[in-house]
Amino acid sequence: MNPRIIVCPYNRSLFDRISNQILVVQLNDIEQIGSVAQDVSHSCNDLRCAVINWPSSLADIQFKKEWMTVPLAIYATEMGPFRFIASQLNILQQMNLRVYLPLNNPINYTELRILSSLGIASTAVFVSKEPEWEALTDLMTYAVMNYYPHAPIDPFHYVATKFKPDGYTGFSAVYFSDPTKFLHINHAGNVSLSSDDLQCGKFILNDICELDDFEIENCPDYQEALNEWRTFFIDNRKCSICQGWRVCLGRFSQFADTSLGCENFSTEFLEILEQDKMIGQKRISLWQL
Amino acid sequence: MPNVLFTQSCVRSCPYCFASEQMKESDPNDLLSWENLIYVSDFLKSSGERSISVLGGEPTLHPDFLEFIIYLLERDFVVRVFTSGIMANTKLDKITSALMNIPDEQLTFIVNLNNPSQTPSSLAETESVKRFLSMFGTKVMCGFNIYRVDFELDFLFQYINCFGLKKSIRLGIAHPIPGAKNIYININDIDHVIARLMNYVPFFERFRIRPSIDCGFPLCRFTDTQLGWFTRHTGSGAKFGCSPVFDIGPDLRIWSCFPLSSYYKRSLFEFDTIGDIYRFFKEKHRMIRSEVGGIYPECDECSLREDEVCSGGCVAHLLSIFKDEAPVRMPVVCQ
Repeated sequence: MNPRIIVCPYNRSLFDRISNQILVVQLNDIEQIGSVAQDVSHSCNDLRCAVINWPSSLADIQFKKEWMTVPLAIYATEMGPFRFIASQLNILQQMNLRVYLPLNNPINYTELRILSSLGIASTAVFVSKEPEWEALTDLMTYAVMNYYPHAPIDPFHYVATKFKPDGYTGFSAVYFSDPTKFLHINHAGNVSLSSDDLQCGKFILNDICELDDFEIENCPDYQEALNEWRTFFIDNRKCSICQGWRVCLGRFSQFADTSLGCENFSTEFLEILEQDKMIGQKRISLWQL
Repeated sequence: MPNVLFTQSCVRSCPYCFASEQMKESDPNDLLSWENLIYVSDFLKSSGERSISVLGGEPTLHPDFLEFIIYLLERDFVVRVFTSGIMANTKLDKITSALMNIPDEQLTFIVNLNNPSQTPSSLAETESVKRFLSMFGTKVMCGFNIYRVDFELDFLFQYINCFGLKKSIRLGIAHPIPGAKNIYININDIDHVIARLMNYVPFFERFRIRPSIDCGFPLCRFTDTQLGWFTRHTGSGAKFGCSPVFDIGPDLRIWSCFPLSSYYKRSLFEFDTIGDIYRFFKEKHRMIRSEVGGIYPECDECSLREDEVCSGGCVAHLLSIFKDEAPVRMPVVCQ
């Protein structure tokens, strides 16, 4: 099989059942940051990053210097009071950290930008609530236009770097839910293509130990997941005729029937990317030294 | 150094206020947003600017004042805050605890002070200012706007010594707002102002306090002896320019300076760099000065003005002349 990144819970015995894999480890407790890298390393696996769902603001975390070398994804509710973030900036700016903030809280549109402008990579997390499209467009513009260097804001930065003018560019990988890149396993070692599948018991393998001999390309569920986008066209859904489809792949389809905001946003995103690509192509290739 | 307005409202109503016209036109609830602050920071940084002046109205009235200042410091700006120093004790405590340990080179407060006996204010206001000065001591430089010929500076010497402030006084001269009615120093009174200022030379020397004169003073009104004194006591001498510094409003509209706030107002989004803005407003100043060289008739022929050693006084005076005369100028000049 092609190497996949495995998203798994923090479980040492689970780590020992797999080897030579790249792991994204979901932590239960923030204090586990201190030991996760060593535990993964001892099991002969590589740590891509540790993910923690923090039920409060980023400012409520007391960051430690020993976390600086651990690749981290922190899902927080918001940034929190800027003064408290500022007091920890000397550590935060040196950390291998990506902060995930949900867009159900309007303040997070601004806070993602604040963090990015201070050199902290951040990611907007889309939730069931309809985004504020104008604020989202502003955030996307800031993320992509790069008027002055700042840390990446995903998923916009991700799409901008992967964008191909003649193809589709999805961004589910930013949230570890792209089946072409990630497999998800639970404590029992069951393997699924997504965390949703894992939760509802839809496994492609019952035991992680079977992974080495598994040809995922021959798995019907995998093929189905890869071609899921086609249903938009088969069902003739509104997203299938949207210009911005190529950069959203129906991510906001639940809002498409009731709002023009999603179409306007995706179309503008696409226009900026294409314009940027065109400018890039027009650049003179310099003579070589 | 560009000025950024956090707010458009003030806690005082100084008779000479040259921001009044701008504030009258604006919504007092118009506050600088985080998004605009980030845009301004990026804009200045991309132009290579490392310093920023924070203005209002009264900038400390902004609900995120402290966060904004910390943000600017984190973005590695040298920050100057122009304030009245009037604020509630709770706010002062909060600001003090957060900013007290920032090095003086990185953060300065310029507190615009009015003489309590000549520009009366309430006792509470005066006490509030004193609390601010006592808290921030060495971070504070006094600013004083001269708007009457019988001005008195004694209280400033007292404040500097009493509260351990920076040993420097920023002296501005009140300028007219074209088309508005503020109190300012008449052109004919500038000689008196300078004479009175020089009367304070023994005090400046005795207390080792350096005067720093702001824009709009005409060079020719100082004698060579007076200029020599300024050179000796300020190190670099006095500056007699009137070049656009430019102010950035909370909505990112920009103008050359407060007295010229209604003259060729633009948006920051129209420009790519600070250099573009300077060139734009410099050209507008040049247009005015091509009509009238300076505030005195002899400015037209003055070689020092032509060589840009002196600007020929504040350009707001010239625009005021245009406003009061028959419409004989090109419309593009007296817009």
